[in-house]
Amino acid sequence: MKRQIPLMLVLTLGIIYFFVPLVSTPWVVDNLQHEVFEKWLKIIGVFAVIMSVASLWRRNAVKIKRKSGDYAYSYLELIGMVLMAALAIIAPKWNIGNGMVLGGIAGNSVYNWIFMNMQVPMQATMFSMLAFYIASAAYRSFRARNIEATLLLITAAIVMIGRVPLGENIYQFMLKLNGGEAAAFQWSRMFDFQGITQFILDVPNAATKRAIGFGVAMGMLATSLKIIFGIEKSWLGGTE
Amino acid sequence: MILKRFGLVLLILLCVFVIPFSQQSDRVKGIAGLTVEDFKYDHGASVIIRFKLSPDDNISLFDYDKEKLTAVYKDGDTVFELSPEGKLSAYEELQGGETKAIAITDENSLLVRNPVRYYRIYAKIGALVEEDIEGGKCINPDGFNEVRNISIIGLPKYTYEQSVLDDIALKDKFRLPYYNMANKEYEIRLKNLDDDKKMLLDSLKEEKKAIKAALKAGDLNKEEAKADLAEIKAQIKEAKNNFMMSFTVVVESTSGILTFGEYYEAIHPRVEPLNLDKSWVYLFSIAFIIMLLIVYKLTKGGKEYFIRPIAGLSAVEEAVGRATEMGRPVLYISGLSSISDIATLASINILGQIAKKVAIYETPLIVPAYDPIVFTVIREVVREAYIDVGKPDAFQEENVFYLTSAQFAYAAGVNGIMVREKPATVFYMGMFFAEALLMSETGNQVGAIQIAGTDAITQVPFFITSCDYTLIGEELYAASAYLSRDPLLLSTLKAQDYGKQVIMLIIIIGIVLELMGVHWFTYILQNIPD
Repeated sequence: MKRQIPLMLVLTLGIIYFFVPLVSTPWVVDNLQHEVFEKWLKIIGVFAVIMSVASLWRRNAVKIKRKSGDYAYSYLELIGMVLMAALAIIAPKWNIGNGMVLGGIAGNSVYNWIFMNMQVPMQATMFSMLAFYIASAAYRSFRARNIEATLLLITAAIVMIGRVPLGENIYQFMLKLNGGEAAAFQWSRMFDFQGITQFILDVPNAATKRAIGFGVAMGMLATSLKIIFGIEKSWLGGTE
Repeated sequence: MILKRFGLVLLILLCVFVIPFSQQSDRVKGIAGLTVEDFKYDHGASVIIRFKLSPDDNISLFDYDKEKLTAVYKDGDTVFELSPEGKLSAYEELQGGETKAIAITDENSLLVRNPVRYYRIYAKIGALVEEDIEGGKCINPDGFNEVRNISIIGLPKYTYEQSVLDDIALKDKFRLPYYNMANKEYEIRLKNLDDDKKMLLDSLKEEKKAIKAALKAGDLNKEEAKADLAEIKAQIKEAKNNFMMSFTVVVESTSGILTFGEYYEAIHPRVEPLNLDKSWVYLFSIAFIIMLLIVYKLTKGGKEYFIRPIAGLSAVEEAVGRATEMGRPVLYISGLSSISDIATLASINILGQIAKKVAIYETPLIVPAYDPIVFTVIREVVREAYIDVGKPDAFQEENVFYLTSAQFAYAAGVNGIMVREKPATVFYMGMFFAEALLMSETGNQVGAIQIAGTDAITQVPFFITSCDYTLIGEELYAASAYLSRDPLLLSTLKAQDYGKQVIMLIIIIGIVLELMGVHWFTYILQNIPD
């Protein structure tokens, strides 16, 4: 029964929602396409957030209790969580000078100040580190160890040159050497990095992306159907 | 084999014969040479009317003469006039009326004159130039305005505000509408048509009441009142049956928004019970469902299919074994998307299979979740997997936890876990964004064996670079079935393969027909609604 009810629910709702986008009568549009789904998600989401916060608390509490490695960070996390929640929910909206208030989540609240001056810069720091990670990853990929890697290296070099002003400058210089656009044999076209880059992006790259896209679409459809028809039950956990 | 062929033939027949006829017929006609292709009333949101200017792809430009209600087309080197009845006549005959096509100045442009000024219209680049040739003055010093978007706005006739009428009065400044023929379909949206209609009917009823009151008070004589009431009755009838709309052409260009023309048309708004724009999607989906169920049934009957080995999935056993040997945990990242994303569902299915393998060896499994709803699901999935293999005590609830829903905070948290816990194996399955490389590079640095799977095409190169194995696109959706080794689940992969074969066949047919100069097949495919 524990498995049958979810499976029945999924089958019924799956079939209904399969046909909902096809029907455009007012009742279906108003009640099934938008409101119901959004409301359900919000209601489930509220309970899920409570459970999630409880799990985060539990994990850190266990670490502190066991004094497992670097448990000091767990203290920080718990303090941060309690502090932010207290500031937003419990703290009175006292004026603490400089136009700031202690409680609430308004633009001039301490909660917002902490978020804007700690959380946002820290996230920006993480994002900016991506540049260095890309550099190290690119170095690893571009080492010409075999034919594929060599091809990748050459293609990447062309695309990089084609994306910066240097590429156009090289082409213009070669075009001049070639005798301008009036020349009969346009060998300088081989140095038209912008054009070659655009070709690489528009033709082989787009073709590959679309091929993957087809596969993904089929996979999504198959996964959805497997879940709706109860062929795939892994999401319930276990086998029986 | 017979079933396979039958499936293919069925799908091709559906694509070629049924779908083209499933398109809706014209319902509203007669807007100055435009043929209304589709009319749909999307309840509560908008009225969408799609126009098709001409089925002939070569026609690249047209001009609209409001007085004559004719459209001027340019097709290659010839200019045509199209009457509201759809009759074409040659350029030479196009001499009368207010607007004249003067000359085709070059391959791309057409010079048109009306009493106010000359216009040079550039067709191929989708741009227009206004040149006051007689005065020797170029109105637009930049040479041309690039046309960004062209639409036809429909407004109910009776709800015109004075400001709208003022705007329309500006049309005299731009007497000729220009169309970028690259956009063959124009949409008319009328917001809240129901409300407008209701407002109009209410106001007419109020007027009716006022006339009756005036008659009672003796302000109107019987004959006048009767005539007024009859007129209102007629208006109510017209409003109910033929809702008048005024169509205005709006061109958004780099120099601003230009408004042209005004044309009244009666429309008959009604709710369409089915949204047939999606008929292609449904036909393909239903054909795929049939194919999937046939393959599933055949497998149940004992038929076996060969499934190609996927290196990343074959390595899962080895990766879990490695973690067990090293006495280190396995880290599983289920992606950064919500439960409504199918990639997340696929990831949860894979987690179920991996959790079972991990549970058998009693190796710690750490699963930090990004989304609260996903967290509640994956916790149950992991718990059930441990119970399923008879190791409920090995499940450590604190190892499946919610981390955060902030993207880079999540990446920082996962990186912290990798550096502290030194997992021997890391799985990245699901939907990933810019944080993918941040996490996978850290995993690479701590020496973990990494297996990634995502349908996010932009992140695939990063995973290929930093992970040992990467499941690309569809392989993510195949993983759960592959790992379970359940023949029934594996059969669905075969159905996917057949589906792809059909797509490949359509592509090959399209290429061959195009090379042979046959365009109808491509035309059908290009006109599939989004």
